[in-house]
Amino acid sequence: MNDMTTNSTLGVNTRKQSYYELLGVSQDATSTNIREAYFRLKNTYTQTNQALYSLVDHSEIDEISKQVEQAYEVLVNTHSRLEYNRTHGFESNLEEDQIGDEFHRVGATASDVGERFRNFREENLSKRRIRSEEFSTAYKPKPMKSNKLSFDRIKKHVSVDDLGQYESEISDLALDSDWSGDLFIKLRGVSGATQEEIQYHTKISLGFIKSLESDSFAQMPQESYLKGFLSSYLGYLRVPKKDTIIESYLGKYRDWKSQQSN
Amino acid sequence: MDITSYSTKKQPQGQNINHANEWLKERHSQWVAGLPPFAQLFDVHNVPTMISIGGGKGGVGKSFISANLAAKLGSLGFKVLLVDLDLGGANLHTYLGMGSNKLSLADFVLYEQKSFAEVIQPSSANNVDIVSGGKDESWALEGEGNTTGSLALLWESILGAKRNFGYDFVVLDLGAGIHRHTVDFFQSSHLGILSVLPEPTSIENAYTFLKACMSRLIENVGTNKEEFEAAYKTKELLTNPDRSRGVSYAQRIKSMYQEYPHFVEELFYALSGRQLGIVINQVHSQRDVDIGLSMNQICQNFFAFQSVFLGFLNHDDAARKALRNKSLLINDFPHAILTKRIGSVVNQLQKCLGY
Repeated sequence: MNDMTTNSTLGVNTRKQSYYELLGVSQDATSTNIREAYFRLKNTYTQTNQALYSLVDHSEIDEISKQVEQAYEVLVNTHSRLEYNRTHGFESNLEEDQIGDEFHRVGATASDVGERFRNFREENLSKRRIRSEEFSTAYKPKPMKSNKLSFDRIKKHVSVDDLGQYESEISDLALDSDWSGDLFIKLRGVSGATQEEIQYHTKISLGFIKSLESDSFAQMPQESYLKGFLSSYLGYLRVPKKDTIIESYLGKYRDWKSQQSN
Repeated sequence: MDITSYSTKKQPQGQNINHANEWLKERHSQWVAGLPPFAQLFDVHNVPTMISIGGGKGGVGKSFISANLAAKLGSLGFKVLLVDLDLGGANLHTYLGMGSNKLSLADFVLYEQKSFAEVIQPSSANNVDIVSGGKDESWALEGEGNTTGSLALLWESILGAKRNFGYDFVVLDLGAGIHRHTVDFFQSSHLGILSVLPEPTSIENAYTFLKACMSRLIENVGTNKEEFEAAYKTKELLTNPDRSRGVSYAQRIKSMYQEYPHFVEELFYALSGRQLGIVINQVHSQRDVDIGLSMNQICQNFFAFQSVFLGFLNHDDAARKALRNKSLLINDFPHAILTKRIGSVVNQLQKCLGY
């Protein structure tokens, strides 16, 4: 407050405003307050601001704007602000670390900030380490299951001891022109395969196999599906000339269906 | 006519101190420090909250704001007295949808035939009574010297509106220009609302008006404290164009502190007892609103007024339609955006007056 120089060029007996007065902040303002005041004034004193009309002219706006800039540059930097307080006799009863907020303290150099950050990080890291140890003791990880591919599931034909004898037996059965559910059972009896085995390897549902062997057409699927199922069923049992068998069986299925519709 | 000869048409209501607003009670001595010397207070605790609407330029919506603001305050339950002080261009009654009253302020001030109580007329708005301004031609007869005495009577009537008639608010609709009485009423009200259009002409006149208010306040403080020399010197410093480059009013007043410390302290003391509200009228865009915010900043920094940005009123044809329908806007168009804006201005006004 001791800067009482008179402004002789303007002819006004005014002491120069201090930087604090210029920005309109108190002496113990934080750097956030100073920044806010600066932006408010900067936005007010612009050439395009209509609200200044007739109050101040263009050169005055420039002048004020420059002063505000100057004041902000000094006050926003904590070192220069302390220096300004000292030289202009502001009785700042503030300790060095009371000005400014957490990261804008007076005397905080880059290395100080770096050290603070390092300490902070180490603290957090050690915390995290402890946490991970606790975690590992509480929850032991289970050994992972290895899902190996098993090729024995993919099996195209029924396994038979004597292939020549089996085929001759099968072909005798296949000569039967009137194909029905009993013949399917007989065929399966010769091969020694169970219903479940056929279901497992051909992926035909058990219900369908049962309906096939008991001639219950009502539970069978549509014709095209039936054809496919028959093909894979007979193929698994190594039945020769299976196309003729399928045709004859499908003929039977069609007859049943026409009876149903009538 | 004597001040004690009020008719008993309206019974006085609250004469208890507790009824007074806390905000006003706290700042009462500050407020009194800047009053004109001829305004005498009878009861310091029963002062109505004085709100005056000015703006320097004509056609900025002073009467419109006064009428609607008073009606809004009335609808909130306050008893409001609306006084048309636009002497010579009185048309406040038209905004309220009333025909010109036979009894007007002219009968009280100029002709001195009626008492103030007789001049007060009930208005169309709820809880609002009006003193209309009178016919133009009667004010043209106003002489130079003879009005000060009768205006002192008007001052006493207005300041005693709470004690005598129980009004919570007195809303003064001021005229255009910087006539001495206009400025006196503006700077001595608790809240002076500056109505501004976002145009250079209106802004220019508003600043002229504020400058006139400041020099009038300096005069009043000087007279009250009997520091005529200090007041004269300060006024000279403020009005001298050669000395005013780049230095704000606030700074110039502060520079007088070395010579007249007591006077400058008293002046700032008086300034802290009155508020300045800024309302931007006929707003079209956000840029117009920003002018209001900037003006608020300037009033604080440049003039050292305690200023508040009360809000803005958008440009709306509803205002003109309501006028043609001869009814009040907030009653005629209760759902218009403009009505809501008036509501928010009143809300802000109540906040800054501590209601």
